[in-house]
Amino acid sequence: MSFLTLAFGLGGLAIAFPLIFHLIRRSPRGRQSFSSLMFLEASPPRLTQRSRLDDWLLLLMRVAIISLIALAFMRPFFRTSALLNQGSLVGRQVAVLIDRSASMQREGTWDKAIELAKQTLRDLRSQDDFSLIVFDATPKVLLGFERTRRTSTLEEKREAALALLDTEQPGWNSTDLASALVEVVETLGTAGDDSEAGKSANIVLISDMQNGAVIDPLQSLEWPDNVIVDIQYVAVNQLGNANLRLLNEVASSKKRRVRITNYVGNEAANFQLTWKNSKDSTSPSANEPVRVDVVAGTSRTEELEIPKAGLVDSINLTGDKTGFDNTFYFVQPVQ
Amino acid sequence: MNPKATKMQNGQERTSSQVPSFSIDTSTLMKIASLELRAKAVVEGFMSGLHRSPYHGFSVEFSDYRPYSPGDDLRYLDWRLLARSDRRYIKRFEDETNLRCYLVLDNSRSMQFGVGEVVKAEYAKTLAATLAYFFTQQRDAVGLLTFDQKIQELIQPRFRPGHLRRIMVALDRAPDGQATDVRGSLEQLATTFHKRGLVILVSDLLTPALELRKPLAILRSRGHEVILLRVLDPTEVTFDFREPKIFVDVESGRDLYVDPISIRDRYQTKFREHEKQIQALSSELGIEYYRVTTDQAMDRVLFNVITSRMESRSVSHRRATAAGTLTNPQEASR
Repeated sequence: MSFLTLAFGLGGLAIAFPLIFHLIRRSPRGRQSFSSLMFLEASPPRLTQRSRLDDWLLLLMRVAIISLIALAFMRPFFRTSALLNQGSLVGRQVAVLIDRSASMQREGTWDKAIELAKQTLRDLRSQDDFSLIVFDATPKVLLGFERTRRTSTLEEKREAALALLDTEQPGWNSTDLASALVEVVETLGTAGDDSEAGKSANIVLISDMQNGAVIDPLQSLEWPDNVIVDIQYVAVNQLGNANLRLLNEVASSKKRRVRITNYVGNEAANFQLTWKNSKDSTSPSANEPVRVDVVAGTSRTEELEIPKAGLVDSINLTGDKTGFDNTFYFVQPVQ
Repeated sequence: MNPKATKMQNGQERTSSQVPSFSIDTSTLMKIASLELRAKAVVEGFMSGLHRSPYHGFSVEFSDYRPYSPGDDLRYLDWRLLARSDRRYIKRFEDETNLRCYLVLDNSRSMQFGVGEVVKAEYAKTLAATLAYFFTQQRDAVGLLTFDQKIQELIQPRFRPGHLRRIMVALDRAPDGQATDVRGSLEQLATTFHKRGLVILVSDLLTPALELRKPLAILRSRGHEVILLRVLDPTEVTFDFREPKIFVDVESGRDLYVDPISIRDRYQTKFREHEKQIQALSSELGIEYYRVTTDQAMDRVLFNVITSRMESRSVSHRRATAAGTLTNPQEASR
């Protein structure tokens, strides 16, 4: 019994309202023809000693309804013991799929992805089975369903998964989302024996959902009805990026072509190209920086003369806030 | 005892010590199916009771002479005059003078109300039939006008064979009235009946008193004598209902939820105020007003009307004598 039990019990006193209402509302017994109403005036209903209760059945029904409502609210507070059989609960199959493509190199992006993965692992229940997969151009299974099933407790499973995540870093590959999803779906379909058939399957996709990811092969995939994809979007701090790429030599010239690509949404449009020696950052550039203006959403190719061999092994793009792809390394042929 | 002493006391008839005890039970009377027989029973009962009455103040007073004609009733021969002057003269009494009586009967829907055995309409038409029978017996011309929201029946005053029967037939027709228009009917009566006479209005007068002023004043200005006989059901006076009910106006159809216990006093106050207004109006215009309920004996009403009639005839006779319009053979023979 708690305070609310008494409060709901007091609510049962509301049966007084229909009682009073039935006493006050004196239904006149019939009609009386009269010669003229010129000396009469309407009478308000009143509660007197001679008041009677009309419509007994209706009154009893109203009282019963109010009483039952009060009892219904009171009943949950009549303490009873409830035993929950954990064995009767059905767990889930959860595949945690983490994007480690080049776009995840942006500042803070990979940290956010790891945090989302850890949150997903914390939300798992003891009867759930899970696997941990990273992907870029190809998927890589870090922790499979069989291994997690062999592990006794959920805590041990989480610790194993977190240890593996700490060893991973984003690479420089593109994003083939379709291959990763197909492999996960096939894994879910073959995971476990018939006793796992009743379990629902969830794919938790942690990615920045970068444009350009490969998804076309998914059109030919017949998606299973029991597989649900939960996309955990990794928000990036900065929008817009520019990068550079060293192309082939210009024929009959010592110049090399450099392509600068400025992606849509990048606020910066003025860049500088500088030849660098990655082993000696203190050495001055052999050439002065070359200014290049590239409008967002476009590419531009510049022909630059490479300094003498051995002096430089990289070319750097400055002016772009997303810096992970602003240095291009190369090897000069020995002359 | 002066019959005028208790006249118009709250519209009630004279005190029981003055009224001869010849009452006929109303419920018994209404069991007589024929309206004419009913009227006859009341009148003859009244007349026979009158002869036994110790009330000597009432009599058909001698008013005039006329020469004897063969065939006249010798009971009315003035034998003293014959002995003194050897002349044969028949005494003319007040009731032998020609009177035109207009019975005006309210046939509206409100008259159909009645809680007891007798509804007002039945009582009223029996009263009208009784008066018609009586005045016909007195050799007076009687006419009839019935109305609701308009005039239903109009019979000019006549004294001829078959006329009373015609009036009885008209009274016996079942009323189908709806609303009430007392004012319009009385105004039309005033314009239709040019010859002066006695107008007896039998109605419940459940209409604002102000609406009655103009038509009654017109009637009085035309020289008519007017008597108001207000017929009510006892419950309309006392409002002694007990249970709260939806009260429905029989004419307008309007309804009200009424708790009689809580509003009875106010009802009676309003009713008395309305009656005082009618009485004041009657007094102002020189109209006689009587109120009767359907549980009262009809001959009492008849007694009051006739007594009033006799008194007014006596007044007019004395005025006529003083003006020299009447010839007294006894004086002439001296």
